[in-house]
Amino acid sequence: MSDAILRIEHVTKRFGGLTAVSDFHTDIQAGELVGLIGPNGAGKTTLFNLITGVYEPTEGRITVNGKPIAGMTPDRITGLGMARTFQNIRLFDEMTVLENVKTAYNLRAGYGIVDAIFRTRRFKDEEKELHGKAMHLLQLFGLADDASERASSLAYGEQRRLEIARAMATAPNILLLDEPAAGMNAQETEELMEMLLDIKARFSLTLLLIEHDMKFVMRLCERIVVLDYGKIIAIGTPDQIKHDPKVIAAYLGDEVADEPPALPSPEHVPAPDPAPAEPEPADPPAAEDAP
Amino acid sequence: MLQYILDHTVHMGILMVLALSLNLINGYTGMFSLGHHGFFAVGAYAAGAFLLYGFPPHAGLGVGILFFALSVLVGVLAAAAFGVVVGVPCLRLRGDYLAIATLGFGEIVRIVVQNTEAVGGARGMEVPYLMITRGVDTQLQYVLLYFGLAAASVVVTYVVIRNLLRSTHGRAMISIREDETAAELLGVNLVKYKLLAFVIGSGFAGLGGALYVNYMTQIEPKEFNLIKGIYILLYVVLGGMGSMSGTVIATALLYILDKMVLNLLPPEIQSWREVAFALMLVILMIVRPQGLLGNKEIYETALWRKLFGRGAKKEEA
Repeated sequence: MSDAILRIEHVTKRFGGLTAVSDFHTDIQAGELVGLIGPNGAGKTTLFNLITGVYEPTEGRITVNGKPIAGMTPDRITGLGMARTFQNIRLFDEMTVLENVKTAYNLRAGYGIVDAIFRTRRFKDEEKELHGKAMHLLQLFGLADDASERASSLAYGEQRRLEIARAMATAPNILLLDEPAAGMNAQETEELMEMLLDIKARFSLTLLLIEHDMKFVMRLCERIVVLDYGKIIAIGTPDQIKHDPKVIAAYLGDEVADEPPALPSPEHVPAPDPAPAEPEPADPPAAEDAP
Repeated sequence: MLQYILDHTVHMGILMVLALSLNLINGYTGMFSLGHHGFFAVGAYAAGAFLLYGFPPHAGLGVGILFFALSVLVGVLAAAAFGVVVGVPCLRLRGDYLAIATLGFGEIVRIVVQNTEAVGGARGMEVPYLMITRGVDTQLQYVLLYFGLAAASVVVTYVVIRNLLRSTHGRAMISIREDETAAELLGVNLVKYKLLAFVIGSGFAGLGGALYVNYMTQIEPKEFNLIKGIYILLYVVLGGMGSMSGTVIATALLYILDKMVLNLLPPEIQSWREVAFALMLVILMIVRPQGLLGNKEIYETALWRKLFGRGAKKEEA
């Protein structure tokens, strides 16, 4: 257990009288692919916000790559090797696809302001290298042809992919994905799954993802954590989770099926809709307006 | 006539320096500052005070040039230093709150200067001529000299800010405007880049101030009032937040309209100038809220391509 890449120790987060996350405790090992599921408002996104430093935990401790993150700003935590995407896509809309990715290299850029102003050799060399790296990432994500398009002009599924590509530019070893398949149709979801497995192997990533598409989670994840009212109600393999009575009662419903009935079928979700298919009323508003 | 045009061009150039640097703060980094005239004042008064107390009387041309350069440096550094002092507490504020705090700063500067006898108080400050004395026979040379200096300042401001924006540092600033939370989670140090944009913007406002005091040699606190700050903001908004060429064009257009065209009208109509100005802006904001060029540069527009058949190639690296 000592080589846990992400260690979350008895973390609790309260907003006034509301306990959004309560005594969350788990270790995530390098190379794991963990799913985080639970009903809307269970505290999944809040947990992501705690791990990435958007919120400070009320109690408990989080360690990323062996370093406690208490008191760190999100950009420093990103520097430790943590990256994430967002439930409601948050691209830099007015920037091009390529610039979106390039922005995320800021952390690793070595040249200073003076280099930039005088366009020194160092600036040019680094920018050239960075351009190559960014284009390479875009190629991996099938976005190279759209490099000079505005991010906002991309189709919905492409925007989701760009978010992941952008997160990958920070060179993380832990990637948090907040509902990566939301609003995607069956084929797009399938492609996403392959792509995630590909980048996971290529960049030796550890993945932690929130998702409501049970088929997606069950097929992809090695381990699943189920949250309800901020508490872990079950941890286990997809098979164990599927048959756990507490999970069935709280989330999956009576039918122990691969597809829970509460979910809309992907065909009904309009593809270019920028809004998430299933907003979590309790979580996302808190993301910006933290009390 | 030539002198008249050149004189106005100097003023216009100084305003361009101010508007370009404000665009870095407001247009590119997305921080709504209303206190740019305050940094302009700091630059002008710091450079002016340096000359008032430091410049030896009856010095030669060489010393004059040296003192001009030093006074510009003093103006830039003083304004940038004030940028840090104002920036550190204020940049935690967002949107309207930042606007009000910076507005307050601008007023504080003006009132402090107005009540400081060492820099002339409400009467204003008079500083020595450095390189050429503006007299009847040297009038043209004087204006020409400052025309060159103002043009150089605009070019320097434009190039420095443009180069900065086309680097990882500029992308970080623009990403803050686009989505502060996402930017921070992608590793952009918000405090660093907000402060950087603010300080660099303030520094260039100081450059404008130093040039202004050298050119005018007489300045008064009431010139640095809120109206000045709002005019600078108008140039930025009209040209398009996030367009440098737009800022330059808008400054030129509005300045010419305000100072040259309206001055030719009969006096009874002139008193309606501000009304006409405001009305025009209201109409502009309804018809074209993103400003003349939005956040494009002029060589990225369709009209430019049609006229010059290039510009399609975007400069990379």
